[in-house]
Amino acid sequence: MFEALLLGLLSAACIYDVLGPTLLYAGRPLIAGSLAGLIIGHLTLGMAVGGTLELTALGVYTYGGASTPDYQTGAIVGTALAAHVVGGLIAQVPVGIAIGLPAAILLTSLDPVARTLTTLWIHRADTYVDEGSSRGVTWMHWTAFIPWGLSRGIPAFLATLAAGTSVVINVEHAIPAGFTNGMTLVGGMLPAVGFAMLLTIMPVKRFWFMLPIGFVLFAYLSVPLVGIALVGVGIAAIYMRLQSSNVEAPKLNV
Amino acid sequence: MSDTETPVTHEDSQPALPELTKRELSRSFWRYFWSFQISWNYERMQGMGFAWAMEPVLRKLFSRKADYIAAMKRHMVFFNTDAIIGGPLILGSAIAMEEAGAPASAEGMKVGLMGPMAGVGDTLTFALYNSIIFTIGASWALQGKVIGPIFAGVMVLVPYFLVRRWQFYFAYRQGKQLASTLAGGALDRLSESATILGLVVLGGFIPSIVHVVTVLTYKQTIILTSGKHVTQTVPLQTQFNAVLPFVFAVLLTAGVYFTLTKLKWSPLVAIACVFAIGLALGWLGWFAPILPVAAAH
Repeated sequence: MFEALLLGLLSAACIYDVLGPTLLYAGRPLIAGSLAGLIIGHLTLGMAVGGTLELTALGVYTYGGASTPDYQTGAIVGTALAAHVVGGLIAQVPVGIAIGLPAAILLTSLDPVARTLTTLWIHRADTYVDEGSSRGVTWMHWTAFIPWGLSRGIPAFLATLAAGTSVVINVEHAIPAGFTNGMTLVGGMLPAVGFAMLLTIMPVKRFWFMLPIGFVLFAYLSVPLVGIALVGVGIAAIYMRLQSSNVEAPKLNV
Repeated sequence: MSDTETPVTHEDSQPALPELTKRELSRSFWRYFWSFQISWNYERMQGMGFAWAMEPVLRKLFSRKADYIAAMKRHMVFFNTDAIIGGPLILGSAIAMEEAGAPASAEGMKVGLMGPMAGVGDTLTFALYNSIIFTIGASWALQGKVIGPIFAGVMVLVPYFLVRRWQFYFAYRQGKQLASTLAGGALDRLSESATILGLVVLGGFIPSIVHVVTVLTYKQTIILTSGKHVTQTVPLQTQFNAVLPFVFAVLLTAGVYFTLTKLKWSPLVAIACVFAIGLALGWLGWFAPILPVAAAH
């Protein structure tokens, strides 16, 4: 019960961090999952579930204002439920992903509810503005977070509450080995979706030839990622230099 | 520049506005920092957050209640841009314009900049910076290294704070010249170069993160020099590795990219498909994330 309450609060705190100060980007599944792991005393599990969902989610956080799968709550719920599975990380992580991913997608439907309900607050705030009441506007601005917080907090709370019950433990006994193998592969393949989504918002048609450069460095030459990033910085700098000299050249002629 | 802007003061027949002090500016920035999007809603989006951040400034500038109300109304309108790169920039310059007695310029600048800044800001923060630091963080986390989430957290905490604070005060100082500064094409070139960096890194990231190999094997009989026939079990993947390593990771990513762009699938359908295919191929024992150690021999 106490743990469920803590994880519910964590979920609300994570969405606050995203909307407000962005101290850690706690809404990202990597952070949310790790924090959940810390709370339930199983950090490695939280990191593994959060990390896998993170790679699935990569390209999702792109368009301001659009509803995206709630990977944050998915990571928290997946971590909390997987912790009750016996058999160590190898058995727990696939279960965490098998729960966290569908949960994230299901909870997508709660996000528009929060975004719509908040509209009620803004109309009340309009009245306070007409009265010149700065306190009223302050009050409305901060309480408008309530629908946001509840939309993330309640699912995490309820799911964790259900985690300790026998339902989850019985389900776990019924899981065949093939399913675990399949889910492990799913965990390895899902980042492809994240990367593909990321590519859709990048100018691949114009700069596709940059992709093989990184690929060859990694796949054939085994250059570490930081090294690849440094090569990328170099190429980007060359490009910028060429571009700006193109812009400046006609100016000199004038 | 300044001589063309001074007449704008006449657009309102008000007495000269009081000058802002460090106090109002800092209060405005912290209000933005702690709560910019907490009242985000479909109708005005970041509108109330923007107005609430402007409020300490407007209260100082407009001592007459009617003026204060009118100013608050001006900023309680629809607003949406990137909250990290863009938001503080526009806020700072809106403050500068309100202080200069040019509320119409503040409104125009908000409308004019929020779209472009949303595009540039979202690309730089989400598509580029976040995806790099969170991919690195996640891959460390998957290896069980605690430094993974900590790295991602610190790389958000410090640079994101500095970039927001800098933008806010820079924009305030630059005031009305801001729009022309950014219109010089420098911003376009910067974000284009950043995109190039992103694509080079992605080329290496994708095979390092997407794990799918075939564990199918085939039997191969070789004749040794001694004339003995020896039958070996060879993993099919080793043959692929010799020619095109990470071939399945590349094909998978390219395949999903194709369904998203050409077939216009929604990401959720793509996730469901990858989920089903992965579950089936893993269950059948044809594919796995990595080659089992025994088969690699």
